[in-house]
Amino acid sequence: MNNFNHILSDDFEQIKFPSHKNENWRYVNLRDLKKILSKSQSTIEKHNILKDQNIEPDLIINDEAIHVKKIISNEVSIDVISPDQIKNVNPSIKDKIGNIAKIDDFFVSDNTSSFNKLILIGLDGKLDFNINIDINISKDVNFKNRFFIYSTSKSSSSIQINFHNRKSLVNSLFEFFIQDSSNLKLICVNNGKESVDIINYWFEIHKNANLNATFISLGSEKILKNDIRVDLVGKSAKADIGGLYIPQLNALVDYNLKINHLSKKTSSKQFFRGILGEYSRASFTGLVKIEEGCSESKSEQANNNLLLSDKAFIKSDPQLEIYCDEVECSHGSTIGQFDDDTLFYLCSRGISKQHAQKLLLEAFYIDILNRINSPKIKSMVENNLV
Amino acid sequence: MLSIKNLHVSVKKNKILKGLNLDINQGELHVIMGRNGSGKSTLANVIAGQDNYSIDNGEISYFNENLLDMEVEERAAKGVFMSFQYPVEIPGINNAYFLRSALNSQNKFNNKNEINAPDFMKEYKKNMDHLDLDASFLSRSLNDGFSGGEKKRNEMLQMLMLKPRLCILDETDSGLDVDALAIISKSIQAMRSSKRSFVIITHYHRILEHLDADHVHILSNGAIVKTGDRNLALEIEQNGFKAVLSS
Repeated sequence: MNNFNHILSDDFEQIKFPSHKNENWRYVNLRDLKKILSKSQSTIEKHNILKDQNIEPDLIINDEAIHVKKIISNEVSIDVISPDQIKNVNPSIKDKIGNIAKIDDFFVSDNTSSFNKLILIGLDGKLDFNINIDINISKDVNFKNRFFIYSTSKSSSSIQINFHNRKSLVNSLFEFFIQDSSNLKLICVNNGKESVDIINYWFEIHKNANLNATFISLGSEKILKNDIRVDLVGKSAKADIGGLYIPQLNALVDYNLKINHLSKKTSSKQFFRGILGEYSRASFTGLVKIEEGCSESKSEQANNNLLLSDKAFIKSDPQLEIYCDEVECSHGSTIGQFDDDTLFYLCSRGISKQHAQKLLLEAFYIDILNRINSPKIKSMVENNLV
Repeated sequence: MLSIKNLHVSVKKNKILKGLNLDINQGELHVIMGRNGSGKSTLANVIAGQDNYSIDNGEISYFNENLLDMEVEERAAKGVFMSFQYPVEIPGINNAYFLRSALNSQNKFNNKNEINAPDFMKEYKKNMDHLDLDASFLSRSLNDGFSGGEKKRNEMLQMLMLKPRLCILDETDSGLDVDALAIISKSIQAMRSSKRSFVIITHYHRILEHLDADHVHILSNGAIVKTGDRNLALEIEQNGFKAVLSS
């Protein structure tokens, strides 16, 4: 167990494995997950850290090593440190490590108590390129990823994280410390196969800072759980979060978002779309909570789902808790299939039914892809829907 | 061109068309009038291929082929076009992109070359001017947020671009102001040719002030019960269906 005080207090107790009584885990097959967890006791004990200038992307985590590009730019720092080295980190950052993520769940506590390496990424200045991270664990192991990413005041940067795990159980935890007036654009792409990916994202967003995050889930994971917690702590902090999930085969995708408005004039958007085919399953829970005293805050939430198969399953649950006057909030969700009248309209102009469905699918997801403008991801989405 | 014989159509066991007969030759403009619920839109939808209807009896031949055996898109590629009474709104599909896809799908079916983007845009803009549509039509989504009049003009834009051989206009004149009606009538008149035919479904005589109709039919209780020239439409407007049908 890691023993660094500012993450683990003396009275730290491992949180118990979840049960279906916990709303957050209601749609996950916990019996299967427990079996996988008990089978995957081994982890990658000695992960080599290799610094190389000629790697693409900038950071790769695979079975053998953590590969880090030596120099990305003067404005970007990537350090891989062990838990006992956290005490040497700059105090203004050190005190935040482990304090943005709240230990409220078995996998958060498991990650916190036993991760081997912390990847510390500092973003400064105005970057006009993406920092790219690949996470690719294919061994049958229980691996814990731990990141702390901070953007300095007035900086502007973007990060893309690609998950390609295979047959492994990967418990990832990201803490984001987004400082005053900084802008962070984040793209996370899940494309695992037969893996279990439990990913916890924790964001702390300060005064006038902006987060623009887009989550794209396209894999055939046994279980993909993206838990996203956002604390808008500073006045006029903004979080614009979008996502598209198209789980393959019989994959399960579970999105659980909690956005806490903790200051005045904060704003948040959640805009998620799902396309469910074959035997795939998805669950979307989005909670917006506006605390007392956070007047003039705004929040929008929309979750729309298209079911392409009778066997697919979706549960959508947008939630709103408001403890303050003078706020603007909207939320809603839809679940539907292709509309026959719409298909007839398109076909009546000479377009085949198959092509009409393709056009309608594109119309459904294009708003999400327009957020990230990536031809590569667009092509991945198109391939998933063939 | 189109020959409908003894057509019986029902929806959920409700008989809508009850032995309808209609022959349309190339170059003709037919007007179909009738009370609400008489079966006018059902006839248009059945010709276009909407599959919500049960064809209980009868036949429709189109250039001596069985139209009822054709898929919706095949009918369109062979020149059947219906202007919808209520065009659907499809956010996310660009109006111009959709129309080019439709045109190229039809060209592919007919073994013709695809139209390239510059040629398409030239034609598209020319027809937009013709219909007095503003430049925003280039970037807007298909019918998304369009006013009623804009939707009808967009249907006409599609007709001008697709150049069909049989144009069925289902109450395209409903809800249009005087100027919009004149613009739409002008487009129809400009498209008339010896090889193209029109079926105009309407409640009003006023569109006929702009068009030369060859035949006016009254559809009542699922069948065409009276046929005449444009004076029949005027008579309906002045005296009502009941008086005209009992005379």
